[in-house]
Amino acid sequence: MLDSRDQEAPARAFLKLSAVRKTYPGVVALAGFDMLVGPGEVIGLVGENGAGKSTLMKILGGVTVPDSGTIEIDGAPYAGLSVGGSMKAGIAFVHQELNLFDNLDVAANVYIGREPRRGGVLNLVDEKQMRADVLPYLKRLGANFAPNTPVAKLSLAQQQMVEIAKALSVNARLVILDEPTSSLPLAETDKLLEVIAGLKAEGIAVIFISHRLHEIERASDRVLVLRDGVLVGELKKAEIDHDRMVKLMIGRDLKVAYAAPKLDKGEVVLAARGIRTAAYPTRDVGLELHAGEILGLAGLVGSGRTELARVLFGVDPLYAGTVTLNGEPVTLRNASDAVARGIFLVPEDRKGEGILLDLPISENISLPDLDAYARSGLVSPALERVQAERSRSELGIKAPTVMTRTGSLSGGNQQKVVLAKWLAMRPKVLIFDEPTRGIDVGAKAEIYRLMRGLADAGVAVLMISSDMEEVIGVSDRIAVMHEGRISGLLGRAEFSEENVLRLAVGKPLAKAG
Amino acid sequence: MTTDTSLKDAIDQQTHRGFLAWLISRQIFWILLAVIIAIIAMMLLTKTFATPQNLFNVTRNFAFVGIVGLGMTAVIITGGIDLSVGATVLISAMTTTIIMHAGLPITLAIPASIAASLLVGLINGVLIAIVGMPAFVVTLGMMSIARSIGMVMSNNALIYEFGPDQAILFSIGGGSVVVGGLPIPNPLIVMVLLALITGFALRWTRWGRHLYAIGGNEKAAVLTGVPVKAVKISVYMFVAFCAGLTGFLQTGWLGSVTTGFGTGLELTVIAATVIGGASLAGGTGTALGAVVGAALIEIIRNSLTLLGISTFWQGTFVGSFIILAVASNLLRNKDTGE
Repeated sequence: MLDSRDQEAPARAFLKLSAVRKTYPGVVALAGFDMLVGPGEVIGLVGENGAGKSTLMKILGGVTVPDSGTIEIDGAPYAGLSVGGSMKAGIAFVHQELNLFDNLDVAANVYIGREPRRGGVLNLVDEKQMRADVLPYLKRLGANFAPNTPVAKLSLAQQQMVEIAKALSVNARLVILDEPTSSLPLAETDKLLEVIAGLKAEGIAVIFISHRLHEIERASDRVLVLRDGVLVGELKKAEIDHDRMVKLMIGRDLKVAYAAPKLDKGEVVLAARGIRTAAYPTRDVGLELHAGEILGLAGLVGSGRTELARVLFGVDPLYAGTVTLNGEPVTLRNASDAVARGIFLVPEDRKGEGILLDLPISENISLPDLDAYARSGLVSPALERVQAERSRSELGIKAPTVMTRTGSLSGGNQQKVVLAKWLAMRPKVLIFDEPTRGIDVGAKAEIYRLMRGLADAGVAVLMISSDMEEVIGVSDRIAVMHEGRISGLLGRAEFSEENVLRLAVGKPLAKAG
Repeated sequence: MTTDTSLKDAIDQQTHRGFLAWLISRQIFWILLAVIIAIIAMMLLTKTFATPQNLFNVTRNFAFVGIVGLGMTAVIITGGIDLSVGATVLISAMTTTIIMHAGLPITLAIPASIAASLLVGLINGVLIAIVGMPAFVVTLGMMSIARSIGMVMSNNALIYEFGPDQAILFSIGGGSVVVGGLPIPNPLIVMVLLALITGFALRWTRWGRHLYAIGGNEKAAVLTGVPVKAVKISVYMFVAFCAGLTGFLQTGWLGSVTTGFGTGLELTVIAATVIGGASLAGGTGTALGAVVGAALIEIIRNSLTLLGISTFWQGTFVGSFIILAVASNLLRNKDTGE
């Protein structure tokens, strides 16, 4: 463990934590944690799920009080903070799941609960004033939307800006960004990193928590690595390096290494020609997916990737075009049609769309194929458990029993349950939409191994991903989408961040040479 | 969570957590206890409660709420609601009446009343599942439409003439089967059979599993290939079937049909299912819960009458039970750290 004196002390620390300790029954969540945050400093905070990051955030947000240790803000010591106290002290949070009201406009969201009033008997909300007040914050952030835009119409990155505008409007001195980029596409991530740089320039400190280490690398002045509630490493600007962070996080070396496919690319399993989706009704899109390959589908959010996947899975209507499976044209009117033909989707929003959190693991696995678990028409829990046990050992699902409620599992293990339900049905085509979003590094590698194993078993795998490292590290080929069509296909030899980005924004590839 | 707990340990933990602990964590257990206490108290307090005639009335009355409650439970499990059941009871009763009053046989009246009810359920289901309208709005509209059509059908006349098969109709709805010297009212027998079938279907069939899946997370159910639309239509048809059955049986019991038939039934039925542990948010509910909830409501009603307390107090008692049942459930779940 590092002593606080080892941390490069900024001129005058805004926030200082000394020997902060927090235990829960049976778990030491934070074991004597020290941290200094200076004004205008961007600190990257990394660690696997369960490393103690969220406990630290809860302490800073005033949601929990540490067992021991002190928190100093601007030199004033506190034994613990309250939610109001934390806000008053100038600490603002931007959570991964944004706390915005979709049905209200930007200005109303920023000023919710403290709306400017017009006075008088009725003391009505002064909407005009509110919109005028929020404008300078939006300008400072380089936002390209008006104060009266409904939040529902904004992209995720724009919504984050609204949250950050809210932080600015209460004169926050420290903005804590919790996994802000996990749902952002490439170009929008750049935008967010610019916003972070802007905050820094204004002397506002930022704590940036992310599983996406490349972004941590780009944004941070200093990186703190947590493992099992202990600060296991502190990297200065020059020392920040992806592999070093991973090693500290998991305590051993681990690389998302590209595993070459075992087999040569097989026959075309799924072919889509001239597909038009609701998002781009005038653009034709087509692609061919071979047995035994992992085809990465990159592109900006809104480029039509998810819509294409949903059409191929039968949940969205096909406006035009044909889909063929093993050479036979197929009509997919709903997801049941796709499932019956062995085309499966692992959706992006795991908790919202992938699994039933209240059901046990075994019932989640059997759900799409209950007939297979039935004895004379009645579902047999015994058969369900047998399959669930098999899946649990094959995929390494970590859970006390297969009757465990799926909602109590970690993200990685929930994703394995989603996979398990499809694997039990012998997939021909598996479509992954952001397969490792919000999953920690160790579990990511396992998911990649499983994906490769599937491809090697002859399954055609389509992987939608906004994580550059993942697209390049895992795919055998990359198709890039731009505004509703495939703007280019890359073979392994052409893989590079630059090439993917160029195609994603619709530019031609740079000439080699 | 330790990951290296062996399966055996974990299963042992779960099964040996104690039957009693499991039991007291169930809302249905407490409601059942309330029913038993109420029965014992009434047996001690009054001479009239435990008479065969009173028990016959209580069980028959609660059977009607119970039958519709079974259908309502299925709807509520999917996260839906059906406010049109009371009006559907009227449609079914009117269909029965008109056909039999015209001198046609009961063998035509039964399928026709059920078919009319299923049609109501089909329209509800299609509007909810295919068109995608909120269940509350659709069935609120249907409640009004169905009752109005029922009134039009009646021509605002009180009908108590049921043609040549009148005796059969009355004996089905109002009759009983004597078991061990005790007369068991026919509606109760129908309810018990339907409860067994529903309970079985909810727990062990594909359809039942799909209901819970839809109520738990409809989007995930869609993306898992559950035929969500078809299942939702089927569930509104099922509750309409239950209402249709009730309408027919109640006609036979009362021997006459008025336009007020089934008025307010929807709220009593929803109260029964909620007291029995179904959550309006969807995903939970059992057949036994619906039956026990219906029994509790009827016993409260009957007890107040027998004790000579004004029937105006009924609402207060039933309402308190709804709030208490849900509140205690919430508190118990907090205890277990959820």
